Amino acid sequence: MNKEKEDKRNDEIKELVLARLNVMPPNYKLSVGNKGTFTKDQLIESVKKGDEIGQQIVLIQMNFIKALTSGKLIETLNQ
Amino acid sequence: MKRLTNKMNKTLLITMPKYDDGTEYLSYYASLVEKKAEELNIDKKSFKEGDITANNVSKYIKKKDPKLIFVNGHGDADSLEGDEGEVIFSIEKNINLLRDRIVYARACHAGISFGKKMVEENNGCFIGYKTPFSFWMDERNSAVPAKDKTAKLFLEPSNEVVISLIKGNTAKEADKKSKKMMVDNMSKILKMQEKDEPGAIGWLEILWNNFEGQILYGNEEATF
Amino acid sequence: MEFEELKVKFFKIYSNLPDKVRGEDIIVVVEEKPYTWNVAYFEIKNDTTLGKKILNKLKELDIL
Repeated sequence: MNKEKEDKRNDEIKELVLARLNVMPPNYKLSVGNKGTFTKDQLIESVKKGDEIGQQIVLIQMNFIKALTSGKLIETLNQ
Repeated sequence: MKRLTNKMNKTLLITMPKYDDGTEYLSYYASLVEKKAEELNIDKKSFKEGDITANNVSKYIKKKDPKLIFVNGHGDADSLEGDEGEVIFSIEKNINLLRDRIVYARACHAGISFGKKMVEENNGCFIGYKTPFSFWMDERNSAVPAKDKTAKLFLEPSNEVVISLIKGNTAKEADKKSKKMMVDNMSKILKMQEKDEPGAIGWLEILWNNFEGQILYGNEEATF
Repeated sequence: MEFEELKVKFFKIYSNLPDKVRGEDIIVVVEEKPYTWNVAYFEIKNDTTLGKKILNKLKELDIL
Protein backbone atom coordinates (compact mmCIF):
# COMPACT_ATOMS: atom_id res chain seq x y z
CA MET A 1 0.00 0.00 0.00
CA ASN A 2 1.45 3.43 -0.87
CA LYS A 3 1.87 6.07 1.83
CA GLU A 4 -1.05 8.22 0.72
CA LYS A 5 -3.45 5.28 0.77
CA GLU A 6 -2.05 4.13 4.10
CA ASP A 7 -2.51 7.58 5.63
CA LYS A 8 -6.08 7.75 4.35
CA ARG A 9 -6.82 4.32 5.81
CA ASN A 10 -5.32 5.28 9.16
CA ASP A 11 -7.43 8.44 9.22
CA GLU A 12 -10.56 6.44 8.52
CA ILE A 13 -9.72 3.98 11.27
CA LYS A 14 -9.22 6.90 13.66
CA GLU A 15 -12.57 8.32 12.58
CA LEU A 16 -14.27 5.01 13.42
CA VAL A 17 -12.52 4.73 16.79
CA LEU A 18 -13.51 8.30 17.66
CA ALA A 19 -17.14 7.59 16.77
CA ARG A 20 -17.06 4.53 19.04
CA LEU A 21 -15.48 6.50 21.87
CA ASN A 22 -18.03 9.29 21.52
CA VAL A 23 -20.85 7.06 22.71
CA MET A 24 -19.13 6.30 26.03
CA PRO A 25 -20.84 8.15 28.88
CA PRO A 26 -18.61 10.88 30.36
CA ASN A 27 -18.52 9.40 33.86
CA TYR A 28 -16.24 6.50 32.91
CA LYS A 29 -12.45 6.58 33.07
CA LEU A 30 -10.10 3.99 31.64
CA SER A 31 -7.02 2.72 33.44
CA VAL A 32 -4.56 1.53 30.81
CA GLY A 33 -1.68 -0.60 32.06
CA ASN A 34 1.10 1.63 33.32
CA LYS A 35 0.05 4.60 31.25
CA GLY A 36 -2.40 6.09 33.70
CA THR A 37 -6.13 6.75 33.89
CA PHE A 38 -7.97 8.64 31.19
CA THR A 39 -11.35 10.28 30.81
CA LYS A 40 -13.34 9.88 27.62
CA ASP A 41 -12.23 13.33 26.45
CA GLN A 42 -8.59 12.51 27.12
CA LEU A 43 -8.89 9.26 25.16
CA ILE A 44 -10.47 11.14 22.26
CA GLU A 45 -7.62 13.67 22.30
CA SER A 46 -5.05 10.88 22.36
CA VAL A 47 -6.61 9.11 19.41
CA LYS A 48 -6.69 12.38 17.46
CA LYS A 49 -3.04 13.06 18.30
CA GLY A 50 -2.03 9.48 17.58
CA ASP A 51 0.09 9.28 20.73
CA GLU A 52 0.94 6.04 22.55
CA ILE A 53 -2.39 5.81 24.36
CA GLY A 54 -4.28 6.74 21.23
CA GLN A 55 -2.54 4.00 19.29
CA GLN A 56 -3.25 1.52 22.06
CA ILE A 57 -6.96 2.37 22.01
CA VAL A 58 -7.07 1.96 18.24
CA LEU A 59 -5.39 -1.43 18.57
CA ILE A 60 -7.78 -2.58 21.30
CA GLN A 61 -10.84 -1.54 19.31
CA MET A 62 -9.68 -3.01 16.02
CA ASN A 63 -8.80 -6.30 17.78
CA PHE A 64 -12.29 -6.35 19.21
CA ILE A 65 -13.86 -5.73 15.82
CA LYS A 66 -11.72 -8.52 14.39
CA ALA A 67 -12.94 -10.83 17.15
CA LEU A 68 -16.51 -9.97 16.17
CA THR A 69 -16.09 -10.43 12.42
CA SER A 70 -14.03 -13.61 12.68
CA GLY A 71 -16.57 -15.16 15.04
CA LYS A 72 -13.91 -15.64 17.70
CA LEU A 73 -15.84 -13.69 20.34
CA ILE A 74 -19.04 -15.67 19.87
CA GLU A 75 -17.12 -18.93 19.75
CA THR A 76 -15.48 -18.04 23.04
CA LEU A 77 -18.78 -17.10 24.66
CA ASN A 78 -20.36 -20.34 23.52
CA GLN A 79 -17.62 -22.61 24.86
CA MET B 1 6.47 -30.34 33.82
CA LYS B 2 6.20 -31.65 37.34
CA ARG B 3 4.33 -30.03 40.20
CA LEU B 4 6.44 -27.62 42.23
CA THR B 5 8.02 -29.36 45.18
CA ASN B 6 7.12 -28.41 48.71
CA LYS B 7 10.55 -26.94 49.44
CA MET B 8 9.35 -23.34 49.34
CA ASN B 9 7.22 -21.80 52.03
CA LYS B 10 3.50 -21.77 51.45
CA THR B 11 3.49 -18.00 51.77
CA LEU B 12 1.73 -15.45 49.60
CA LEU B 13 3.54 -12.17 48.95
CA ILE B 14 1.34 -9.29 47.74
CA THR B 15 2.41 -5.82 46.59
CA MET B 16 -0.19 -3.09 47.04
CA PRO B 17 0.97 0.28 45.74
CA LYS B 18 -1.39 3.24 45.95
CA TYR B 19 -0.20 6.32 44.13
CA ASP B 20 -2.77 6.90 41.43
CA ASP B 21 -6.37 5.97 40.60
CA GLY B 22 -5.35 2.74 38.90
CA THR B 23 -3.16 1.45 41.73
CA GLU B 24 -5.78 2.55 44.28
CA TYR B 25 -8.22 0.17 42.62
CA LEU B 26 -5.68 -2.62 42.20
CA SER B 27 -4.78 -2.38 45.86
CA TYR B 28 -8.38 -2.43 46.99
CA TYR B 29 -8.95 -5.60 44.98
CA ALA B 30 -5.69 -7.07 46.28
CA SER B 31 -7.04 -6.46 49.80
CA LEU B 32 -9.94 -8.79 48.94
CA VAL B 33 -7.37 -11.47 48.11
CA GLU B 34 -5.68 -10.71 51.45
CA LYS B 35 -9.01 -11.30 53.22
CA LYS B 36 -9.50 -14.59 51.37
CA ALA B 37 -5.99 -15.70 52.35
CA GLU B 38 -6.83 -14.89 55.98
CA GLU B 39 -10.03 -16.95 55.77
CA LEU B 40 -8.00 -19.89 54.45
CA ASN B 41 -5.28 -19.43 57.08
CA ILE B 42 -2.69 -18.79 54.44
CA ASP B 43 0.54 -17.22 55.58
CA LYS B 44 0.91 -13.88 53.81
CA LYS B 45 2.98 -10.74 53.62
CA SER B 46 1.63 -7.55 52.09
CA PHE B 47 3.89 -4.75 51.01
CA LYS B 48 2.01 -1.46 51.05
CA GLU B 49 2.77 2.01 49.69
CA GLY B 50 6.12 3.34 50.76
CA ASP B 51 7.50 -0.14 51.47
CA ILE B 52 7.41 -1.65 48.02
CA THR B 53 11.05 -1.24 47.16
CA ALA B 54 13.40 -3.65 45.43
CA ASN B 55 15.46 -3.84 48.61
CA ASN B 56 12.56 -4.65 50.94
CA VAL B 57 10.92 -7.15 48.62
CA SER B 58 14.16 -8.93 47.68
CA LYS B 59 15.20 -9.19 51.34
CA TYR B 60 11.89 -10.75 52.23
CA ILE B 61 12.00 -13.25 49.38
CA LYS B 62 15.51 -14.37 50.30
CA LYS B 63 14.53 -14.76 53.94
CA LYS B 64 11.02 -16.22 53.75
CA ASP B 65 11.07 -18.01 50.38
CA PRO B 66 7.41 -17.38 49.43
CA LYS B 67 5.97 -19.71 46.81
CA LEU B 68 3.42 -17.32 45.37
CA ILE B 69 3.97 -13.68 44.46
CA PHE B 70 1.12 -11.37 43.48
CA VAL B 71 2.40 -8.14 41.97
CA ASN B 72 0.02 -5.23 41.52
CA GLY B 73 0.94 -2.04 39.80
CA HIS B 74 2.81 -1.00 36.76
CA GLY B 75 5.53 -2.47 34.67
CA ASP B 76 6.74 -2.87 31.15
CA ALA B 77 7.94 -5.68 28.93
CA ASP B 78 11.08 -6.22 31.03
CA SER B 79 10.21 -5.29 34.59
CA LEU B 80 7.66 -5.02 37.38
CA GLU B 81 7.21 -1.98 39.60
CA GLY B 82 6.34 -1.47 43.24
CA ASP B 83 6.10 2.07 44.60
CA GLU B 84 5.92 4.77 41.98
CA GLY B 85 8.90 4.51 39.66
CA GLU B 86 10.55 1.82 41.79
CA VAL B 87 11.43 -1.28 39.79
CA ILE B 88 11.24 -4.30 42.10
CA PHE B 89 11.97 -7.05 39.56
CA SER B 90 13.70 -6.78 36.24
CA ILE B 91 15.22 -9.10 33.67
CA GLU B 92 18.45 -7.17 34.01
CA LYS B 93 18.85 -7.19 37.77
CA ASN B 94 17.09 -9.83 39.84
CA ILE B 95 14.75 -12.03 37.84
CA ASN B 96 16.57 -15.07 39.25
CA LEU B 97 14.95 -14.36 42.61
CA LEU B 98 11.72 -15.62 41.06
CA ARG B 99 13.01 -19.02 39.92
CA ASP B 100 10.62 -21.87 40.67
CA ARG B 101 8.00 -19.55 42.11
CA ILE B 102 4.50 -18.74 40.86
CA VAL B 103 4.08 -15.11 39.93
CA TYR B 104 0.86 -13.38 38.97
CA ALA B 105 1.56 -9.90 37.67
CA ARG B 106 -1.46 -7.62 37.40
CA ALA B 107 0.65 -5.08 35.60
CA CYS B 108 1.21 -3.70 32.16
CA HIS B 109 2.76 -5.99 29.62
CA ALA B 110 5.34 -7.95 31.57
CA GLY B 111 3.99 -10.94 29.69
CA ILE B 112 5.90 -9.90 26.63
CA SER B 113 9.45 -10.63 27.82
CA PHE B 114 9.69 -10.66 31.61
CA GLY B 115 7.33 -13.58 32.09
CA LYS B 116 9.01 -15.73 29.46
CA LYS B 117 12.45 -15.06 30.85
CA MET B 118 11.35 -15.71 34.43
CA VAL B 119 10.41 -19.34 33.74
CA GLU B 120 13.39 -20.27 31.58
CA GLU B 121 15.16 -23.40 32.80
CA ASN B 122 13.25 -23.69 36.05
CA ASN B 123 9.94 -24.96 37.37
CA GLY B 124 8.37 -21.60 37.91
CA CYS B 125 5.18 -20.23 36.42
CA PHE B 126 4.21 -16.74 35.32
CA ILE B 127 0.68 -15.52 34.71
CA GLY B 128 0.38 -12.02 33.36
CA TYR B 129 -0.50 -9.96 30.32
CA LYS B 130 0.98 -9.39 26.90
CA THR B 131 -1.32 -6.40 26.39
CA PRO B 132 -1.84 -3.60 28.93
CA PHE B 133 -4.13 -4.86 31.70
CA SER B 134 -6.93 -2.30 31.57
CA PHE B 135 -10.23 -1.55 33.26
CA TRP B 136 -13.00 1.02 33.25
CA MET B 137 -13.88 2.90 36.42
CA ASP B 138 -17.08 4.74 37.16
CA GLU B 139 -15.93 8.19 38.25
CA ARG B 140 -19.05 8.55 40.36
CA ASN B 141 -17.53 5.85 42.59
CA SER B 142 -13.82 6.27 42.03
CA ALA B 143 -13.25 7.51 45.56
CA VAL B 144 -14.72 4.23 46.80
CA PRO B 145 -13.56 1.30 44.63
CA ALA B 146 -15.74 -1.05 46.67
CA LYS B 147 -18.85 0.59 45.24
CA ASP B 148 -17.71 0.57 41.62
CA LYS B 149 -19.68 -2.20 39.89
CA THR B 150 -18.08 -1.43 36.54
CA ALA B 151 -14.51 -1.97 37.72
CA LYS B 152 -15.63 -5.19 39.38
CA LEU B 153 -16.32 -6.72 35.96
CA PHE B 154 -12.59 -6.52 35.19
CA LEU B 155 -10.92 -6.89 38.56
CA GLU B 156 -12.87 -9.76 40.07
CA PRO B 157 -11.85 -12.22 37.32
CA SER B 158 -8.29 -11.03 37.75
CA ASN B 159 -8.42 -11.72 41.52
CA GLU B 160 -9.63 -15.21 40.68
CA VAL B 161 -6.13 -16.16 39.47
CA VAL B 162 -4.68 -15.81 42.96
CA ILE B 163 -7.77 -16.99 44.80
CA SER B 164 -7.79 -20.19 42.75
CA LEU B 165 -4.11 -20.75 43.44
CA ILE B 166 -4.42 -20.32 47.19
CA LYS B 167 -7.33 -22.75 47.15
CA GLY B 168 -4.95 -25.36 45.77
CA ASN B 169 -5.68 -25.29 42.05
CA THR B 170 -2.90 -25.59 39.49
CA ALA B 171 -1.72 -22.52 37.59
CA LYS B 172 -3.47 -23.83 34.50
CA GLU B 173 -6.76 -24.20 36.38
CA ALA B 174 -6.39 -20.76 37.95
CA ASP B 175 -5.82 -19.18 34.54
CA LYS B 176 -8.82 -21.07 33.16
CA LYS B 177 -11.12 -20.09 36.04
CA SER B 178 -10.12 -16.45 35.69
CA LYS B 179 -10.81 -16.53 31.96
CA LYS B 180 -14.15 -18.24 32.51
CA MET B 181 -15.12 -15.42 34.85
CA MET B 182 -14.21 -12.92 32.15
CA VAL B 183 -16.35 -14.82 29.64
CA ASP B 184 -19.25 -14.91 32.13
CA ASN B 185 -18.91 -11.15 32.58
CA MET B 186 -18.88 -10.61 28.82
CA SER B 187 -22.12 -12.61 28.61
CA LYS B 188 -23.52 -10.54 31.48
CA ILE B 189 -22.70 -7.34 29.62
CA LEU B 190 -24.40 -8.60 26.48
CA LYS B 191 -27.61 -9.08 28.43
CA MET B 192 -27.63 -5.56 29.87
CA GLN B 193 -30.27 -3.08 28.82
CA GLU B 194 -28.86 -0.15 26.87
CA LYS B 195 -30.76 2.40 28.91
CA ASP B 196 -29.12 1.05 32.05
CA GLU B 197 -25.61 0.59 30.74
CA PRO B 198 -24.83 2.74 27.71
CA GLY B 199 -21.06 2.18 27.99
CA ALA B 200 -21.36 -1.59 27.78
CA ILE B 201 -19.78 -2.09 24.33
CA GLY B 202 -16.72 -0.17 25.55
CA TRP B 203 -16.53 -2.49 28.57
CA LEU B 204 -16.72 -5.52 26.31
CA GLU B 205 -13.75 -4.29 24.24
CA ILE B 206 -11.54 -3.94 27.28
CA LEU B 207 -12.60 -7.25 28.84
CA TRP B 208 -11.77 -8.91 25.53
CA ASN B 209 -8.39 -7.18 25.56
CA ASN B 210 -7.64 -8.59 29.03
CA PHE B 211 -8.97 -12.03 28.10
CA GLU B 212 -6.86 -12.30 24.96
CA GLY B 213 -3.90 -10.72 26.64
CA GLN B 214 -3.75 -13.00 29.70
CA ILE B 215 -0.96 -15.53 29.30
CA LEU B 216 0.63 -18.34 31.28
CA TYR B 217 4.27 -19.31 30.83
CA GLY B 218 6.22 -22.13 32.38
CA ASN B 219 5.00 -24.90 34.61
CA GLU B 220 1.22 -24.95 34.23
CA GLU B 221 0.94 -27.76 36.79
CA ALA B 222 2.50 -25.56 39.44
CA THR B 223 0.54 -25.38 42.68
CA PHE B 224 0.81 -23.18 45.76
CA MET C 1 -14.04 -8.35 -4.16
CA GLU C 2 -17.37 -8.20 -6.00
CA PHE C 3 -20.16 -6.17 -4.47
CA GLU C 4 -22.41 -9.20 -4.05
CA GLU C 5 -19.59 -11.09 -2.37
CA LEU C 6 -19.17 -8.24 0.10
CA LYS C 7 -22.89 -8.35 0.88
CA VAL C 8 -22.77 -12.08 1.54
CA LYS C 9 -19.74 -11.63 3.77
CA PHE C 10 -21.48 -8.86 5.69
CA PHE C 11 -24.67 -10.88 6.19
CA LYS C 12 -22.69 -13.87 7.39
CA ILE C 13 -20.88 -11.81 10.00
CA TYR C 14 -24.06 -9.99 11.00
CA SER C 15 -26.00 -13.23 11.50
CA ASN C 16 -23.47 -14.34 14.10
CA LEU C 17 -23.56 -11.20 16.19
CA PRO C 18 -25.36 -10.88 19.53
CA ASP C 19 -28.37 -8.56 19.51
CA LYS C 20 -26.73 -6.02 21.78
CA VAL C 21 -23.73 -5.69 19.47
CA ARG C 22 -25.96 -5.35 16.43
CA GLY C 23 -27.94 -2.56 18.01
CA GLU C 24 -25.23 -0.58 19.77
CA ASP C 25 -21.84 -1.25 18.22
CA ILE C 26 -20.79 1.43 15.73
CA ILE C 27 -19.08 -0.34 12.88
CA VAL C 28 -18.61 2.32 10.23
CA VAL C 29 -18.51 6.08 9.60
CA VAL C 30 -19.63 7.34 6.20
CA GLU C 31 -19.51 11.03 5.40
CA GLU C 32 -18.92 11.78 9.07
CA LYS C 33 -22.00 9.87 10.18
CA PRO C 34 -21.62 6.79 12.40
CA TYR C 35 -23.69 3.66 11.79
CA THR C 36 -24.35 0.60 13.90
CA TRP C 37 -24.48 -2.94 12.53
CA ASN C 38 -28.31 -2.80 12.45
CA VAL C 39 -28.48 0.35 10.40
CA ALA C 40 -25.74 -0.92 8.08
CA TYR C 41 -27.73 -4.16 7.64
CA PHE C 42 -30.89 -2.26 6.72
CA GLU C 43 -29.08 -0.14 4.13
CA ILE C 44 -27.16 -3.04 2.62
CA LYS C 45 -30.20 -5.32 2.48
CA ASN C 46 -32.17 -2.62 0.68
CA ASP C 47 -29.38 -1.95 -1.81
CA THR C 48 -29.33 1.75 -1.04
CA THR C 49 -26.54 4.12 -2.12
CA LEU C 50 -25.57 4.42 1.51
CA GLY C 51 -25.46 0.64 1.77
CA LYS C 52 -22.93 0.49 -1.06
CA LYS C 53 -20.82 3.19 0.56
CA ILE C 54 -20.91 1.28 3.83
CA LEU C 55 -19.74 -1.92 2.15
CA ASN C 56 -16.91 -0.12 0.39
CA LYS C 57 -15.79 1.50 3.60
CA LEU C 58 -15.89 -1.81 5.48
CA LYS C 59 -13.74 -3.34 2.76
CA GLU C 60 -11.26 -0.45 2.82
CA LEU C 61 -10.82 -0.88 6.57
CA ASP C 62 -10.37 -4.66 6.22
CA ILE C 63 -13.41 -5.19 8.40
CA LEU C 64 -14.90 -7.25 5.56
